[in-house]
Amino acid sequence: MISRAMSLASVAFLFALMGAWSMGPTSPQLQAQGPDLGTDAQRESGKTLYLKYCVQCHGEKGDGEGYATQHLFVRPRDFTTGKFKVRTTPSGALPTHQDLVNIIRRGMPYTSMPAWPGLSDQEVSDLAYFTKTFSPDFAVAENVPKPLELPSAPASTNETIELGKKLYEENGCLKCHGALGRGDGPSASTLIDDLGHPIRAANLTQPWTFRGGPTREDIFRTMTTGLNGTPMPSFADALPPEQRWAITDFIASLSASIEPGYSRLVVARYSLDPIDPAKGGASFESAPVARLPIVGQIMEPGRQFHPPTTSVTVQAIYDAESIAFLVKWHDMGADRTGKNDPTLPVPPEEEVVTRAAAGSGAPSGGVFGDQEVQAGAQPSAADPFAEPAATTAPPSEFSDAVAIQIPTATPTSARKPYFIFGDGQNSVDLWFFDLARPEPFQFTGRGSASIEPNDTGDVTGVASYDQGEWSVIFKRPLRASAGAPFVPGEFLPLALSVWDGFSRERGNRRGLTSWYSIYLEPQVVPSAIGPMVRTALIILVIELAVIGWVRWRNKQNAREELGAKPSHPAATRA
Amino acid sequence: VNILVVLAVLVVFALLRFRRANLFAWAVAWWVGCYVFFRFGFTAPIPSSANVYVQMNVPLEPPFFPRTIHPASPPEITVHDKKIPIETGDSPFRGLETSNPQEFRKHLDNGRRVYYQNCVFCHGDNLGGNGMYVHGLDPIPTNFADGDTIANLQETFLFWRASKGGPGLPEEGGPWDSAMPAWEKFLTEDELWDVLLFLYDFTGERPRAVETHQ
Repeated sequence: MISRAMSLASVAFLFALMGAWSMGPTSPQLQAQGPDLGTDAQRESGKTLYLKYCVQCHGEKGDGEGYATQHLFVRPRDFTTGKFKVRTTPSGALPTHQDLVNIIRRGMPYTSMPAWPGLSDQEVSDLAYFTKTFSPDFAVAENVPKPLELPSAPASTNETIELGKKLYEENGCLKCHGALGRGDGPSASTLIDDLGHPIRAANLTQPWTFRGGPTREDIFRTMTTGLNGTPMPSFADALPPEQRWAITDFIASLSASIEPGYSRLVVARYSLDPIDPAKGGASFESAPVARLPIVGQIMEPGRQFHPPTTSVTVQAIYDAESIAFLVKWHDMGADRTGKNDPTLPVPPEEEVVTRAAAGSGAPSGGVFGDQEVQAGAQPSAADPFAEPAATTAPPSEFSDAVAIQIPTATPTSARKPYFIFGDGQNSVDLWFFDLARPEPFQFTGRGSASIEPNDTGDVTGVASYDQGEWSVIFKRPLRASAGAPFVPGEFLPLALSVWDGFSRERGNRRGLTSWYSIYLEPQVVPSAIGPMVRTALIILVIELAVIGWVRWRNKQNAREELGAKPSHPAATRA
Repeated sequence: VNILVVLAVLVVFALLRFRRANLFAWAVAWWVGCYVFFRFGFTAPIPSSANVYVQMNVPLEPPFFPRTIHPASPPEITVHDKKIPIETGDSPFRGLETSNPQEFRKHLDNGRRVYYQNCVFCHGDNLGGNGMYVHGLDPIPTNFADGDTIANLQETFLFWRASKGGPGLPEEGGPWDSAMPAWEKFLTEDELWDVLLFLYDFTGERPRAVETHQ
């Protein structure tokens, strides 16, 4: 009897197990009930991967204090807080397992968090399970995240974009992101995250830099969920979905493409009107826009690991006498006080982003520097939607600046000067524009340690700042006493540097480009029609001539064979 | 019509005529001549003007420099006043791998720290040459994880590349474009050797053996 009952019980148990098995992986209810923490084996596998790939930045304790942290901006996530930016869950909630998997898989563009396409699905999932062990919040049943419903994007129309623009202004988006979305709102420079680290508002005109992805669905999700731990709030309660979609459409309309479309070549167009820098950007409308990527100057001492400028656009025109460049980039404020100079020294301490004093809410130097400390201490930092306390920013120690670099002499071979301020054998001509001054100034560079003033007065310029964008025009005669000549139909190496005074950039602490090229498109681009017709006609004439000659020869031969009277009997073939 | 080809064919025929060639030679000459004429000498008017159009509309490309990717190293370099032979030398810490694994591990950890504080921005978190600044660099940073690049190079060669960087390349390597810093400006000799140990350890590669001539 006992054995009978036992076997019955075991059969029932087996059935129950099978039931649980069949429901387990597929049933969403079961997943939603308890915290999804993975198995010991999964967490153990995740730990092994974490110690190989992640610990360098996120630290052994998962607190974002790894080897690399001292040089990183945006700072690595502190997993112990349980706060994650990119989620599908409500503001303040934990992310779902899939959210963590997605962010590991896709990475965060234009930060030091890379995408991990090489790991298997299993490995990424194991990593996500291990990440959850750093915060006790994940184990609490009440905290199990319920993802929000995120529909696919409805059609975007001119009306929704118009409505979105209105809502964007009414809901205070422009206080951080700026009226034109360039990340230059009045509060932008004071923003700090929950841990007191400086943080920047997204530049909405450059969707390729969006941390959570560039698509309209991504923008809608960010607006719906907010970015936990940052000043970016959730608008899920404040705005109905239609209005969030309208703002999404407006944001998407701020950029022509979700790709940066970087160029390697600046093409200068011939201008029939004489160049007049005073006319501003209007003269450059016909010239193609080349966007060049800016990277941190991390090759020479005085390194800048994360320049705030990530790209510049360059346009160029020329006339019979001169060439002019229009350089534009986004900056959250114009720093027109203080000084700047490519020779200013940068102490090595400034290469390191110092850890913010815990809990004080004020960052201590580093990426943003002293002004940020003052700005961060303002009460407005806590609430980005409050009116800025002071309308006048404290004067900057260093001013914004930009420089165009060309070789001093036209390269006669592939050999160019070293792309960072030239070298001993091959020098560069630097058109340096301290934007606190009215005119650019020339330097000759023979390496970072050997830059000398060499102003010929040939380079003139005009700079203006409007709604988060610097527009700087440089003008120089095609042939000048310093620097290589610009010759129509020929290429010349070209490089740029940008300094943001607010981030204490000066000297070698800056963002720069590698060598690119400028090409002066000839005044008259020869049309292909003429040569095409000429070639066709010449070939036709030759072919007709050949055919005619063959026919004439045939006729001659035929006549001879028929015994027709040859005109010159003596000339007949032997 | 390629005039030169047609003329060449005609000249051959003329020569044959004056040499009074036999029938076989004539037959061969006709075959070859016809083939050469139609294959190389004949162009119809429309395709040839299309060719002119294509040639006049080649997309603008900046001048290209065919650089040598792993140029020959100098026989010896001087780093922090110390002479390091490249061809015959070896990493001073490589031997610890077998003689003192604990000490070796310390060097590896130090190399890891150096890598993630300095190299990661270009060479990437997984050493795949895909760091966050790759889009702005040309030439692109070396991929250490591709399975053969560093395995084909001696550790001393990498030491030369790391310590002298882009500016230390010979002309054929294009030293003016390379964004590889001369790391001797930032790192000690030991740190340089340590980071090389880390590269091989992380990717599971072995450095090319030192070739000894006995």
